[in-house]
Amino acid sequence: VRVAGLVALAVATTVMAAWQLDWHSFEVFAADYRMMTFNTALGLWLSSLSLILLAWPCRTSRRAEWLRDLSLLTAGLAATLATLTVMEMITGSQLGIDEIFAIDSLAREGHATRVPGRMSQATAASLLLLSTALMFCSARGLRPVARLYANACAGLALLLGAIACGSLLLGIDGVGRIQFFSTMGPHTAWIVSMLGVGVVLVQSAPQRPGWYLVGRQSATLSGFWLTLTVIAVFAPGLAVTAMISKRTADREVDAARARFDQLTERVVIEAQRRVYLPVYGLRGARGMFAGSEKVTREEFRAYVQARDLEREFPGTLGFGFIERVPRTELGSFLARERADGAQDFAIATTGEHDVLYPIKFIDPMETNRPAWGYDVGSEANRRHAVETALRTGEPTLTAPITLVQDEAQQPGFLFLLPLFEGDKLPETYEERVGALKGLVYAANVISGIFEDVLDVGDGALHFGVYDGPIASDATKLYEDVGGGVISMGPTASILNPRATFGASHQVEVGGRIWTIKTVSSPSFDAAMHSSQSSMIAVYGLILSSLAAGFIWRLGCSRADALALADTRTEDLLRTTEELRCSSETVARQNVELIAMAERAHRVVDDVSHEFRTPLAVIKEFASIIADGLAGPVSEQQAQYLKIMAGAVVDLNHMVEDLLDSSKLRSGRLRVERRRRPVEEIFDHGRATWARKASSRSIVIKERIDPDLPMVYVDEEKVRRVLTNLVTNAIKFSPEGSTILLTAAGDKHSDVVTLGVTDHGPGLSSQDIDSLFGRFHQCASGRRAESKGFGLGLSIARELAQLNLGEISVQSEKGHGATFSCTVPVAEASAVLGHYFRTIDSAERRDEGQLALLAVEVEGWCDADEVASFLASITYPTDVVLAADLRSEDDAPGVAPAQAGSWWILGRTGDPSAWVDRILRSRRSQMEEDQIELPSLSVEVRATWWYPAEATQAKDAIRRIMKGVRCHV
Amino acid sequence: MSKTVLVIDDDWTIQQALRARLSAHGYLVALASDGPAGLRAAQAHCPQAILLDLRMPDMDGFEVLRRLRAMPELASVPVIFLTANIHDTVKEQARAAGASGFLTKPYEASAILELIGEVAGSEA
Repeated sequence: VRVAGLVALAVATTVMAAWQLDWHSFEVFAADYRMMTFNTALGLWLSSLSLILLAWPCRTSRRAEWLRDLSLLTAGLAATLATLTVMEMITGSQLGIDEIFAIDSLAREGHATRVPGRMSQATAASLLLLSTALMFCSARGLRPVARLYANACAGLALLLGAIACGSLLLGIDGVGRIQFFSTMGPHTAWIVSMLGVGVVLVQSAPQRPGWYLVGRQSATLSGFWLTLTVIAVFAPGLAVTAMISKRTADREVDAARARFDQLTERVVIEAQRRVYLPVYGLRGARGMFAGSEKVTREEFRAYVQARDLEREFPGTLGFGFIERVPRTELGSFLARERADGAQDFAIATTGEHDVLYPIKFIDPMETNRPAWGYDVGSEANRRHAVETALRTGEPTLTAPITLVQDEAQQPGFLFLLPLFEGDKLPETYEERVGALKGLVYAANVISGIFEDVLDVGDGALHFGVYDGPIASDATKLYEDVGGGVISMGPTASILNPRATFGASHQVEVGGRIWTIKTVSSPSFDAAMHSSQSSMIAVYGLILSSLAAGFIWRLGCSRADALALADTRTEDLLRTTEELRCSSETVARQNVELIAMAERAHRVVDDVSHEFRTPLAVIKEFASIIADGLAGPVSEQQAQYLKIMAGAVVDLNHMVEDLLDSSKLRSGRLRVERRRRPVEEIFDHGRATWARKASSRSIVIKERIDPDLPMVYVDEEKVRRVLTNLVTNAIKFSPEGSTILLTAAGDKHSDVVTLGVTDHGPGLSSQDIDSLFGRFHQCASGRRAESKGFGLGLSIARELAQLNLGEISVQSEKGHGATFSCTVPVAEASAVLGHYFRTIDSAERRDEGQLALLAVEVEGWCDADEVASFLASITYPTDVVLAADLRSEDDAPGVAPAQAGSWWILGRTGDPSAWVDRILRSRRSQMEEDQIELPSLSVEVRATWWYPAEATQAKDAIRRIMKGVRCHV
Repeated sequence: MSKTVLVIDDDWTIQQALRARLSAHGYLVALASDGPAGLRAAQAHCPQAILLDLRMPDMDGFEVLRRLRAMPELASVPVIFLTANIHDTVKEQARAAGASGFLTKPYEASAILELIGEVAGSEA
């Protein structure tokens, strides 16, 4: 398609250049085939450019839009050109487009037989169809129906081109009575056909990924109604414009015709008046002859001299008097005249007639002397006129003659008036001949008669006078086309045969029929077509186009919006699909990660499990040997064995740390917070700590405040915290030093603080900052004799947080260190306060929900068992509160013996899923352990977005708790 | 008469360490390397206490305990779990299954002797 477009473009460019540069050899490029006109070439050039732009692929949508606009513009220009041409043809008006672009030298010189810009009817129709098809293709937001229109238009253009090609090739001009001979040239037809095929093809171009092709029509939305609306606006607009323009043009023509007729009448009347002017002079002379016995030569001269010939009788050379003289009396006539003082008088005659008509008087003599004595009857035309005058007794005109006194030998005529004796006109020819005194006549030249007659036509007319009823070159007397250009005699006419208007009038002049012909002058023709109809056509076309374009634009905007919405919807659907796929991938990866983490934990679990047995064996045999059970050992050997046993214990601690850290990280550590007295925590750890300390001769002292409130803790975990702190203190304390364990708190405080103070090297502030990190080893001089993984303090902190407490350290370099761990007292408000504090200060404060579950437990009555059970099926970070356990204040130390309600407070992404998980955990526990667990009913009582609704959540939960006898 | 303690553990080294320790303290020590052998040894020796490992091939410690409890002559023999498994749930399960004690490896010799003394009486 691109190649076809480029070829068409090249041909059209060449033709346009040929017209502009006067390459006349191009004008007829083959026998009988003429080159296409300039306007045709221009239209095809625009159309082929539009097609090339449509078929030009580009990489970016921005460039594609640019190409589309340019294509639309060029197609629109071609359509405008074609439309104007069609309008010219329909209305018959001249819009001037044929001469706008091309006037070659021949045309300028007036030799051209055709206007170089004027395209033929078939070409104009084809170009209109082709450009319309291209506009359909290049318009935005096209609908499938527009594609149909485009194909229909292109198909029709193709058909016209094909018919033209066929008729030219076959040399036929129709079938039967149907004429389809095209006025299109062969190369025009070929290019039109090629472009038509191109338009059809480009729309079906295959989609190449990453490339935009403007002409390719994707079947998007239907714009049938939009297109219909545009056509409904444009077509009537065009029709009305054509009608108004045509009517205006018709009115102009009618008005011009009326004016032409009016001017013609004026010219005819003036011409007649001019011809008859000499008759007035003749009638005056007749009066003179009637009033005098004998008119002398001097009297006649005086009469003529009394008339102002030039002004009164333009074109009249002189007046004369002719006398009838029988040939037999010729001598006496001559003698009488000479006796009358005309010594030079002589008769010039050539005829053989018995009667002569010599000119007796002629004045003014200076200009008419050659005619004095001339026998008028010797020449046929004159003699015929004389005899006609005698017969009719009326002023009679001769046929066109050449006056003997006219040196210019131009056409002229004589006006003759017979004079008779008596008052009455004799009735018969013989009586008239008998009573004839003579004839007065006027000698006239035509150029003088009709000079300036054209002035009455206001320059709008050219006219000609012809002898006889037929206006032809042979009968031509006089033609005047203005500007001093006249033509006389029987020569080729100079009147414009293609003038818009023309009229012929036959007039009777002195017994002869003359024809006066008028034609409109070029200036009249030019002025006739005022610009009004053209302007109406142009404005109407513009208005119709604007209205249609406006409607189209509106529709396209809507269509664009719809298309954009569709695109966005598609994008959204695609994005949603991608998200779904990503989500599935993430979920799958999550499952894999969970499985991997599970495997990793199992590996750690297994490794720690497998470590323990050999550690136990090493430790036990070292102990057996050291104890002398395997035989006597030296003191040094016993000491070494003791060190070995200590190293085994360290190694065991490291393994335990790893296992605990792994559990904490995976959230698999089970936490059972219950009401516990602080002393119990110390009681169950005291022996272990003392044993650890004794290995380095360190003494552990305790200072536990009396009357400490009960605390809400997982006793074992808190003990583990203390164990890690004590182990840490032992590591860094000098041998033989003291470690102080404290427990402080009062009834007004909501926490109990547990402390471990050593007398080691202390900590720098830098050490304190990173002290609780995982795998932390002190950078400064604080070195332990026994090594670990650096997990102990990290684990201690996490366990403290699981107990809703905080761990902190106070130390000064060189003055030992005090590690403190807080635990909440066993009061609901305190527990909730610490719970909120813990989740508020959590490292990851992801958006999630805080849910409060109400749990009914049936089947068990022991609160510890229920708490333990609930802890086993909830997350370690969740808080389990017994809602209806009576507080210790009411019944100290007595747990209720009936089933109760419980609260579970925790963070979750999906409360319902959480409930399901709790119930599922219970079922799986029952299946795995084959034990009977209490039946549960769990209900989501309230949820809040956390931390967004943190304040509302805290207030609401406290309110709920306040209304219930809540206890922990 | 010396008390008999049956050690059921698949680890030979642990068996040897326990035999050395307990023998030194006057106990008769019977050894078994797996659950079935342990059950047979229990029937043969009628021990006063049994130290039972949890994770063993073929039959785990809980199953051995369940079967012991099913044997009328051995139903009341105190059983002390001695395991490398330190999970809290296991400890709970052991208690629920009726174990007399729960010790984790590496153990303190004094803790074992104390517990055996409690459940079986001293060797003297």
